[in-house]
Order: sequence, then C-alpha cells, then structure tokens
Amino acid sequence: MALLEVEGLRTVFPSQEGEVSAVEGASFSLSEGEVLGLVGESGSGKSVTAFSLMRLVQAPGRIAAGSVRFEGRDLLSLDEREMRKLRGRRMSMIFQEPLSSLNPVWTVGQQVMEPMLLHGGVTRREARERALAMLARVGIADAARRFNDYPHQLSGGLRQRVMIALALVCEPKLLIADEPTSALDVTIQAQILELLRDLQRELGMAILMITHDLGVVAEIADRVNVMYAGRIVESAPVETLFRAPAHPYSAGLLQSVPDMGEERERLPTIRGIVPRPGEMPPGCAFAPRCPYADAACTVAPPPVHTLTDDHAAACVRPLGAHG
Amino acid sequence: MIRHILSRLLTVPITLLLVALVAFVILRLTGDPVEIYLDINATEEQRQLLTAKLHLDEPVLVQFGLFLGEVLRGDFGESLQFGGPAMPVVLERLGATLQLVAAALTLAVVLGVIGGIVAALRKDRFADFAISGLAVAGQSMPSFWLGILLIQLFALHLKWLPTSGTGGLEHLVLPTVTLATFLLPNFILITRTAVLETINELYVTTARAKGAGEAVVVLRHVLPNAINPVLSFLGLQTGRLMGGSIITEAIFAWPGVGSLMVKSIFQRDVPIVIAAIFVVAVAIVIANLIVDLLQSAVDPRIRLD
Amino acid sequence: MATRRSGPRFGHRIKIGLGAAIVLGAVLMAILAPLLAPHDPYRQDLLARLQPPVWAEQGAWKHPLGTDNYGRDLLSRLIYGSRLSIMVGVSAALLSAVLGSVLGMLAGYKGGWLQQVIMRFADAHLAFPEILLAILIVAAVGGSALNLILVLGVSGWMVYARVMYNLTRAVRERPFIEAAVSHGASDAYILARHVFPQLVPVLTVVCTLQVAQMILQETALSFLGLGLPPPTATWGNMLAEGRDRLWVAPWIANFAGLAIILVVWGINMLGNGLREHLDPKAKERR
Repeated sequence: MALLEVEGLRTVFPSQEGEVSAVEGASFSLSEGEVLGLVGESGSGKSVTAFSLMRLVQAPGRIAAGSVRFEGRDLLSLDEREMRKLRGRRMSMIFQEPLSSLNPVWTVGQQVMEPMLLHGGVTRREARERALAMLARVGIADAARRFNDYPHQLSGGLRQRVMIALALVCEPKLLIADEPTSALDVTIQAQILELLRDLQRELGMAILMITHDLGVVAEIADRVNVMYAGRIVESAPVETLFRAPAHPYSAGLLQSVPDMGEERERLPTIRGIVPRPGEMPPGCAFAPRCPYADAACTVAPPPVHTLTDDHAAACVRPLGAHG
Repeated sequence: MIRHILSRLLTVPITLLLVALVAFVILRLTGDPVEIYLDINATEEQRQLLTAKLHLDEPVLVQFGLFLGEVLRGDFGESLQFGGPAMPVVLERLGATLQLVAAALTLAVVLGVIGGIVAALRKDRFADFAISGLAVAGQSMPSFWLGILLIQLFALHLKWLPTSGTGGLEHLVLPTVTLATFLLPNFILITRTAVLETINELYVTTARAKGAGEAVVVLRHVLPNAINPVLSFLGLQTGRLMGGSIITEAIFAWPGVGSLMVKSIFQRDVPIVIAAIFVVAVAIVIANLIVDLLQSAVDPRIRLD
Repeated sequence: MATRRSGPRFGHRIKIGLGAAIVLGAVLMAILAPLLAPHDPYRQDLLARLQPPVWAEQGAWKHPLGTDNYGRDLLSRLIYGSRLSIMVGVSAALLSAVLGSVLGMLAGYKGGWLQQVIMRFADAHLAFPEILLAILIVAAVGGSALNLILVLGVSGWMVYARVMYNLTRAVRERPFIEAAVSHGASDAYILARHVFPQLVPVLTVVCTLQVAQMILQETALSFLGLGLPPPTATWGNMLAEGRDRLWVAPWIANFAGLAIILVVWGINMLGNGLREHLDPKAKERR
C-alpha cells in the first residue's frame, strides 16, 4: 500500500472573477521510503499542492475536491485536532527560505524541541537531549553551543540544517520539502541534498521534493511528476523522464537545464509564461507555448496517455508516440 | 547590547537640557520674579538686593548657566504656596501619579493587546468590525468628557464608585479607565496591524506544520514577534500618557503631580511648576529607557547586534 | 495567486461624504452663529438658572437645550463655542503644517547635519507631552485665541516634519528632480515647484486629522482653565463649568461633550476617508 495517495486534488482561491484553481485535479502516489520530485515553474501550483497535503492552505484558499490518503487515512476528512497530531510527527515540511521559516525570537534549540513537546510523551530533558542529537545528526558541528543561538546568528546553510532537524526530530514517515535548496549557494545546495538523501535512507522516510530545478531531481529523486498550470502533465521514473520525456513541456524543461555546476538559470528556452489561474485556455494549458500544438490541443484538456506501467503524460500526442 | 544602552543613555542629558532651556525661557516669560516675590510697597533697595540674589543683573547666558547648576542640584527654589523647597513637594505627589499611570497603562496594554489580537484573528468579520470600529470611534472621544460621563454613570446614578479624591481601590477605578482610554484605541489598532503583519510569516506556517494548535501559534509564535512595534509605540506614547494624567487628575481631583502643576500655574508658583516639568520629563525619559530594554529583551536581533 | 480585495469598494466615499457633511455643518454653524443662536450667549438671566433641555419635565422651548448656572442659553453658547474651537483648530493645524512641512522638507532634501538637527529635535519633542508644553506656555503668556493658536501650532510641528521628511526623501530620488537640478534651478524653487506638489495629497490628509487633534487639545486646555478666560463661550469652558454641576445639571457638560465628539469624529472620518481614497491599502494598516 502506498504511503500517500492523492486523488483529483483541487485547491481554489477566490478572485474577482470567482474561484480559480491553483491545483486542478492532481493525482499521484508515493510509496514508503520513496523520493518523488514535483517539478514546475513558479506559479505551476506545486507549492499549493504541498500546503494542501499538510492542510495548511492559507485562507481564503481552500481544498475544493479530491482525497488525500496518508497511511490509509483520508486527511481531508480528519478534524483539525487529529490533523495536528499528524503534522510534525508523521508528516513534516521544510521551506525555501530558512531565515524566514525559523522564528526569529526563539533559540535554535527551542525550535527543534518544540515538535516533541507539542506531541507529548517526552520530558523537557529528553526533548533537549534528542534535539541536541538531531542537531548533531544534521551536521551541526558544535550543536551544544549552537543550541542557544538565534537564527539570525547562523549562516544560510546552518539555518536550513536546523530547519531539517526540527522537521525530522519526530522521525516522520513523509517529508515535504518545498524548494529547500533554492535560496542557498550552489556548494551548500549539494551538501543539503546529500544530507537529505542520507537522512532519508537512515530514517526510511519518503520525501516529496518540490523544486523548479531538474538538477535537484536528478540528484535525489526516484520518480518525478512534472506540473504545469495546476495539473500534473507527466509522471515517470527519473531516468525515463531524462532520457525520453513524453510531454513537450517536460522536454522544454530538460532543454533549459544547463550543464551541472554552471549557474542555473530559470528555464529560458520555453517562450512565454505560465498562464495565470483564471486565464486558462480552454484546451491544453500549455498549448499557447507548445511548439507542437495544433487545433486538437485547444478543444479540451488533453487525456492522460499511459505509455508504460510507470510512465504517463497528459498530452494529445505524447512525444515518444509520434517520433 | 551595552553599546546600545549607552547610546540611548546619551540622549538623556540632551533631552533634559532641552527641557531646561524651555523651562528657563518660560521662567523669563512669566514676568519679573522680583514683582512676584515682593509686594508693591517694597523699597528700591529691597528690589536691588533681590535682583542681585536671583542673578537677574547678569547676562542671560550666565543666568541660564546658574539655572542649570541649580537644576542639577535639584534646587528649584522655594515654593510660594508651601513655603519650602519645591522639589520635595512635587516628589511627595509623584507616588499618586505613578499609581494612576501604572494602573492605566496596565489596563490599556492588556485590553489593547487582547483586543488587537482578536480583531486581527477575526479580520473582516463581525468581531473585527466591532473592535476596530470602537477603537476608531475612541480616537475621537475626548477623554475628559469620557471621565465626566463615567462620573455621571458610576458615581452619581449607580453610586458604585466615588466621584473623586483618593482612598481605597474604588477611587482608582474611574481615573484609571479614563486615562487608559488615552492609549487604548491606538493600542488596539497597532496590535491588530502588527499581528496581521506577523501572522502570514513563514515561521508561523512552520509552527503549524509542527502540529501546533492556534493557541500556541498565536501566543508563542505570533505575539512575541508582534509585540515589538507595540512596544515602540508605547515608548512614543509615554509623553501622551503623562499629559493625559494631568487632565485626568484635574477631572477626578487626584492628588498627583499633574493637579499640583495646574493648581500652581494658577497660583503663579513658578518653582513648583518648573520642578514638576522636570519630574515629568525624567519620568518620560526613564519610561523610554525601560521600553528600550524591554524591546531588546523580547527581540534577540536587537539584543545581540 | 489572485489578489484579494475585501469590503466594499466605495467605503471611503461614504466616510468622505459623511465626514464632509459634519464638517461643513460645523463650519456653517460657526460662520452663521449670530443668525442661528436664539439668544445672546452672554446674557445672564438669574431667574432662569439651570433650566433643563426642552424634552425634560421642566424644559421650555425658550431654551431648547436649557441654561447654565447663570441662566445663559446653552444652545447659543454651544453655537458660539464652535467658532473658537474651529478657528483655533484650523489655524493651529495650518500653522504647524507650514512650520513642520518647511522643516521636514528641508531635512529630507538637504540631508546632512541639517537633517540630523531637525529630526533629532523632532524626536525629542515627540517624546515630550505636547499638552504639557501648551499648558506651560499658556500659563506663562496667558490664554487668548492668538496665544492658543501659536502654542498649539508650534507644539504640533513634528508630526508634519516626520511625514514630510520621509516623503521628501522618496521624492528626491525621482528623475525629474535631477532634471530640474541640471537646469540650474535653485533649492527653494525645486522644493516649492517640484517637491511640494508631490506631497500635497498626504499633507491634506495629515492636516485634516491634525485639526481634530488640535480641537481636542484646545478643549482640553479650556477644560483645565488655561484657554480663554471663563465668561467666553467655548466647549472646553462649558465642560469645565458642567463638571462642577453634574448632579444638578448634567446636560451642561454633556452637550459640550457631544458637540466636541461629533466634530472631531466627523473630521477624523473625513481624514481617514481621504487617506483610503489616496492609498487603498491604508485600510489594511489603519
């Protein structure tokens, strides 16, 4: 049984033109211990997907449809109290900007201890010891000294390590990582990814890695979902996607990845921008930017073509099929 | 931290020097002190003697220097009403003023912070409209009239509380409420804004992602971060609070520094007035220092830089 | 994410309309006082002392709002009282606007030591209770309408100075200022013709709100007995007289209080409405 199963997830935000979907019918699953990449440009709905899974979508946004099954329970039907018991204990989240995601007036140690104290079952002393151990485990050399530091006294890389420590201190089964390395220097990025991979193996947890950077996906993920304009347009094992992308959008993303080690630019080769929610074209959302688009693409949203067991693409004419 | 405090301490003498300057100018504006101290039948010889004694024959700058020296020694001259040094008379009344100000400040901060938080959490809903609306209306309310309304309702009609004067706790209630309303509307609105600005911060989401409930999120994550703008505002408002206490003391015949000052103005008892200004100015300066220390206590970014 | 907007789009228009109506009414009342007032506000009638308003049992239409301790007609005193409050409030707000704007613009435009001196002084002054300064100066030079205007005007300058300073610093960076400098325009010319017009909208808002503050201060001073000496009909004097007779004639204080709160509320509403009109986001910040 899969650890996480998402079916037809739809998350909407009100706007002047009525409700618009930031996520439109996203379906995917994640097995225990698996690392799934969720890739897309900014505005593609990948972060909203992440917040929807935690049920932390900020009002007035709301989840309008779909189901999220985690460890066999439907998260969307839990009451808030039960949901809180899962957050930080069974499923955790880390963010892009480690400085703003840490509370500036709390010490590092207090913040790492908090999930344990919130979920109970430990004394303060135990929580403190485990927090210290966790800080050491995420590679903070002088954990005992850093324990009483405040976030603004740490470097960006150390802050993200602290963030990882507080997310993993209760040893959750699922970590949702929302662009965890995008704000960091390239060398620090690599260190953090390596740390995440090590911890994932040690703890046997699953990771949903949300990123705009296919390089990150290549380094850490087993499978990858490509998201565009609120929909998942392609799902494949990482090797398959890199070798033979089926959706023209995925192909465009791959072309825009520079050689590893170079300064990464933001997807320059696909012309145009992601359509804003509420301004979606009637057919395939990618059609206006797609080099292969024709009249058939503008009629209705494209169906999902299953290419092989583990490879599917939402495209009228997937690339592999017409050569 | 220590440098921060020292740089703040440096502003103290500057502020007090300005106050001394203003006080000195006012002293000279109130007319010839010789005329005030001596009666009409005084001889020319007596006049000259007093003029020399008060250094009125010296250049103005020298007079100001001598005045500063006296101020530093706490010597503000003899009170005409009380026939003794002015400073002890003022200090004797300070306790009552501090009692009133402390009570009002506590009330305003507690209600203001609670009201501001509730309004922010219920933004654009009924509770927000009610609280923010009351606060905005409260900004138009002249506190001296509010005091008078309170007297009518609670003292004259319901007879629950005394109209004025001092005594037990019941005497403190109406003046406290009146003085608190000088600050309360602004406290509510500032807290509301500060909470709204904090509540969308990412670290608040982090707290929720850890599994924290609303109470923990608001009290332990939002509030410590939102409290700083409120404290800054408090620092700016200490002067207003002292000014408000003058009016409140006048309404309720509260025997503090403010009512003493107003009474002394009518009596032309200049030494008392000047001494009272200095006491109020020092109180404001000290209050600002305390606010500063509080701010660095709640925010490590100030404390540790 | 789509932008969020809540609340009716026209909220500020209601505020401006209602506020302007109240303000206009008060101003007309002040100007037309001799025509509107049913009696001479200073004529004493000791046989008609402390009469209650018309809706009370012993009230009569001769004195619709009753009379005070000397039998003077309260409605007439209230109408005449608006003259002083509004005149002092507006004049003091304008005076401090001129002082504060000039100093704030100078500090923001010139920078350097001038800015340090002006803004430090403004900060120090801001911490000092304005009412205390006003009390002291009035106590020293005595209460007259002119003195009140001067005192309140001088003690309110730093509010404008801070706002104008911040705005001027922002405006100074704009290209058209540089262009004017390169054309050889003098500082005074640039401040007057290029910088100042940019600041007028905000200045209008601040000045409107300050009129309300000034009226509150004027009534507070009068209430303490430091405004115009007693026989004069001012709202603050009426409040002070009423405070001593709350048990027998509460209406004296209450009508004066109502008049003050109505006018101040109207002005605040007008000012807040104007602010929201200029800057729709201001509603969020309040």
